[in-house]
Amino acid sequence: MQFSVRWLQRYADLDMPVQQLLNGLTMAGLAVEGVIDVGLISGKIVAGEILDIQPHSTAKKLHVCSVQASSDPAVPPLRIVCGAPGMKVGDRVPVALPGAILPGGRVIERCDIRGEWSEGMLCSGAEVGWNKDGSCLLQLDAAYPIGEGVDALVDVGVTPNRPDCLSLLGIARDMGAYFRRAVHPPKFRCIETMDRTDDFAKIAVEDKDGCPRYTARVVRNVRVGPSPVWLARAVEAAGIRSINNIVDVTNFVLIELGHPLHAFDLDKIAAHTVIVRRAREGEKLVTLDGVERTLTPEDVLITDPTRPIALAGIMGGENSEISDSTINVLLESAYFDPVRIRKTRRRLDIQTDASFRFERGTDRENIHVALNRAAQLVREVAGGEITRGFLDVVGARTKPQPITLRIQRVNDILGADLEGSQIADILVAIKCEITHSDHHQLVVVPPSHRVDLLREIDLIEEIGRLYGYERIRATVPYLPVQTAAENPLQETADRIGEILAAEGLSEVVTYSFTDRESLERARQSTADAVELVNPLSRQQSVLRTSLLVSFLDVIAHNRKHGNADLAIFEVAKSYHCVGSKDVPYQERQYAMAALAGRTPTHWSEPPRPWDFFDIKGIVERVLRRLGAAPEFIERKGRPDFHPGRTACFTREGRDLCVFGQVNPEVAAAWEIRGDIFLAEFDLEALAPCARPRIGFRPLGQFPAVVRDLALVADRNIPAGELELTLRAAAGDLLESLVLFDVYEGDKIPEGKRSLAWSLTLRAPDRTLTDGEINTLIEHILSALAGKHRAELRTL
Amino acid sequence: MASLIEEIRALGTQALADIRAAASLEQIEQVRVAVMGRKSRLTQLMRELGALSEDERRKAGMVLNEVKDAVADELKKRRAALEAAARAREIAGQSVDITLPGRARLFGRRHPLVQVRRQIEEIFISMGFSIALGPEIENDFHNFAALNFPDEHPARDMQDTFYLPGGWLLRTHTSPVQIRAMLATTPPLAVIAPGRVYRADADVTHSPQFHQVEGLLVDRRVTLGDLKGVLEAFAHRMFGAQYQTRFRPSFFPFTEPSAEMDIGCVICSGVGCRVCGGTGWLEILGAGMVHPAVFENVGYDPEKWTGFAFGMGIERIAMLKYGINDIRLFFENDKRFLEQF
Ligand SMILES: [Zn+2]
Repeated sequence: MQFSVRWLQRYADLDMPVQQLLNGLTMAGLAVEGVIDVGLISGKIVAGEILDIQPHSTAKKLHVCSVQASSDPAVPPLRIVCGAPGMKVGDRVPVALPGAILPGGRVIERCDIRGEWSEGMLCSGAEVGWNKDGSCLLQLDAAYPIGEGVDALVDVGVTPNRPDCLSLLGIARDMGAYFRRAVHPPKFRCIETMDRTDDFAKIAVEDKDGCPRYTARVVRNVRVGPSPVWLARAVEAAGIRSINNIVDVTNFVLIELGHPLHAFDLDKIAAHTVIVRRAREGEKLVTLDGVERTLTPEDVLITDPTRPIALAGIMGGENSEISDSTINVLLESAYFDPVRIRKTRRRLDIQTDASFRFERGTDRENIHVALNRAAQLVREVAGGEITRGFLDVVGARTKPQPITLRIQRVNDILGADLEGSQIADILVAIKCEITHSDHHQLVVVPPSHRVDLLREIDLIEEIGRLYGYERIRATVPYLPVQTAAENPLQETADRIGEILAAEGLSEVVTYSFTDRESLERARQSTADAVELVNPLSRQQSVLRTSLLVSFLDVIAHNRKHGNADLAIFEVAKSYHCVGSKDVPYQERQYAMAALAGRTPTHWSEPPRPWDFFDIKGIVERVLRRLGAAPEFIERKGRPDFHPGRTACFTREGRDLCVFGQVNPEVAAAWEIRGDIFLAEFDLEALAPCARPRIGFRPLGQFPAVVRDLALVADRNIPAGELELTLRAAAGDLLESLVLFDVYEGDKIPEGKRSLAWSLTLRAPDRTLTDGEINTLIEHILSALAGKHRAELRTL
Repeated sequence: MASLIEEIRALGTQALADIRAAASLEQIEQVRVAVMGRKSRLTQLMRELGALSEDERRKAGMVLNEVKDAVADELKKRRAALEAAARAREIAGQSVDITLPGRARLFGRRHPLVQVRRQIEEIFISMGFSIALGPEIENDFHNFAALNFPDEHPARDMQDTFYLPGGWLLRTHTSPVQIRAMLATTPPLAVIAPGRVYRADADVTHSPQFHQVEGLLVDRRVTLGDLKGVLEAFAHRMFGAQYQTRFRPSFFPFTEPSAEMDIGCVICSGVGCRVCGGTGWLEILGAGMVHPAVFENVGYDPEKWTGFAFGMGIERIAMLKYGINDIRLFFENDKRFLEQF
């Protein structure tokens, strides 16, 4: 809600430095979100009057003006060069003095403009941020004193619970309460003719739910035309475009009192009869913005006996709008049901100043005040006669209900020590009526404009707010001691993140969103992809079924920026439709790690591309640190992985981690050249077994014997199988086994390879003898020979 | 006899001179073989002692042992000196260029959002809060209705919601975890709930996906003053005690009274700059006393229990803490960005 400080000051005694007022607004809960300083704060933009206009000596389109810009008549006028068209002697306009900074950031200096000195600048509305009109100087009315800072336009954020602050009077009331200053609602008198209003217009409300109250007035014989300067400036100060004197009056009353009004051309209403009813299914209305709207029975519709004429509470119809030829005006001030208005404006996707207020709730008891105010202003700015009395169709009256407020409860919630009288003072300041009070409690009737005050806690908030949060003493509570439930999944997620970072991988955080095409290109499942009903863009239209798509995006993005070498991980979720009725969606938690490009560059050894065994090493160490020893490793066939370079560690039949090379076809789909190695840890599978159970084993006291064995075997026999045989044959005496060489080449027969292991043998209870060891080695060799035709390598 | 002793002494004198003259470990070995070896004159004399009378043998033997000891001692000393000299020469040749870069290994980092999240968690855990978690795909009850957002209430416009088929939605805040935590346990309780949230909004300061940390304390006689105390302590530990805090009234459907907490601008220290909109203050979180309607929705008696709740955006805290001006950087994961944290 944007408003003018000078206008605000007409409704409450708030003649204080603007900064103090701004601080008060924020500390009362009306957060100041922006300020356009038209000189009221800086004093550098003042109202000035053009005393004289002379042609510029060299520039044809420029003039040299003499401008009275001081309240002291003894101060000589300023000499200002100006090229604005249409200016004339006597105009009151904003004058930016040297040193002024315009809202756009432009700094005004005393300067030479094509041979003439200029001591400032005369400003258009656009230049000072008042309106969008840059074509001529901004005309000011006499309410802006010569030589004084013009105004400040303040934008405050009004929270949804405070529709009463969506007006000048509302903000004035709240600031009056905050600063304990007097508030002055506008004083006016509606001067009526002797003609009875109901001779000129009739109202019928059929949709009593949608429209609990409807009031109307008739103003006859108006002259539609441009608004007077004061009115145009007043609506513009609230960010509303000036249209004509009638429409501007309705908008002015909206910003002054907060109640939306609508003005109809009475002669365009058939039979001068307004009927408020539900729209019929498929009924159509062209609204003021020229858009044809298709309606449903949930919409409240303003009609005449022949056709719809306005979408209640949201926007008028083109067919009944005020035009230059309008003579008789019907002013509408009604109360519409907030939920109905909201449903309609959401369905039609139109938000207007009127619907914004109606859906938050307006002061139902005082809608006729706004109506009278508008009629009086129409008469003032457009002439015409107000007929006698207003039409008022009212359903059930609503009165604010009394609320019992316990003094102890106030202090219990706030942590304060307020007396009943202090509490009563605050409530009276916000216009509550106190119908009963004793030592323990007050009975409070809130004013009708405070639609948010419904229960005790609402009043406690008001007391805290106006007492001042800053005056409430900060205390430190004793927190309840509780044993937090263990969450193995979360614990595993936290630990794996730390382990992967310790492995040298950097963490990424990617979007949960992707699109179907990306999932398909990454060869991920799309059948179970969760689709957003209202995505922001096609690229973010479904939830990912795998983290891989996000990783490919990160790798591609980094390549584009020259970072081809990446070692990254993320701990995050994938999302799936699972089709069950109660729980249709599932979130699965993964950790993903990826290596792309090459090993780090160092002068001592050339970098090399990452390979399968880099990612396998990471996976092995992660599982070991987690304490989740896998049982098996097996080849894994997955469309997103390389067929020959993919493996999976399993335990109890579940995949703990699938790892290997991303299918080069998938990488190519992201235009990534070079191999990507990936590990996908299933945290739900890991969590139950990822608990380090450390049991101490005594250290061997007898000496160990180390023997190296180089074996030649068919190259197709997996090393892991040879190792299993070797371990089984070696039995308990084998303390450790390390593969230290793999060789294929001309020193051994074609189709074979040599694998060399170092065996550490130790007995817990004795020193092994040479004979014992030799027998064991013989046994191992014969097992390997028998099972795999592996032979001891001879050099 | 006298000549034998003479010879022994002469041999000793000569040996000591030879040892002292040896200039390398090889030479000293040659000297040792020549003087003490099996074929040396000294060894030979040792054998010849057997031919002497007992008295003579004792006398000559004493001298011989004396000389042998002296020679062995000198050998040892000389060898040690030569070895030290050799090591010194070796060490002198071992100098490296200390300015060459150290061996490269990968250097892993946690994402700045995760670092900040963990920092927030640690602060509240140290105060006695524990962590609670909830799903990102939520229903209307947990995300809105139970939190006192009535159907078709304008407060729902404060959060642009992504909807999923079947009336489900992506949670717009971590507040549904409050509801889940309260439904799962009986008071008192003190939890924080970190997590990913979603809103249909995207620009320099808004991302359709971001992260929040929610907090909830429910106990007997929890006050707004307690809320201030806990959050001021948090702000001071997060940003430093030099920054002031202030509480402003605000509105959230699920708290009343509601507040927003500002800290003195970390960029301009309160003077006023573009980041703080010239106010000198930066909003860092929203909070308030748990609304009685929320307690009623989870079956807690609001007359018996009071509590406070708060919520903050991790991105916002991280942006302020590190001076990051575009929220999208967090999700681009540019290596040059990630390596700064
Ligand atoms: Zn600042």
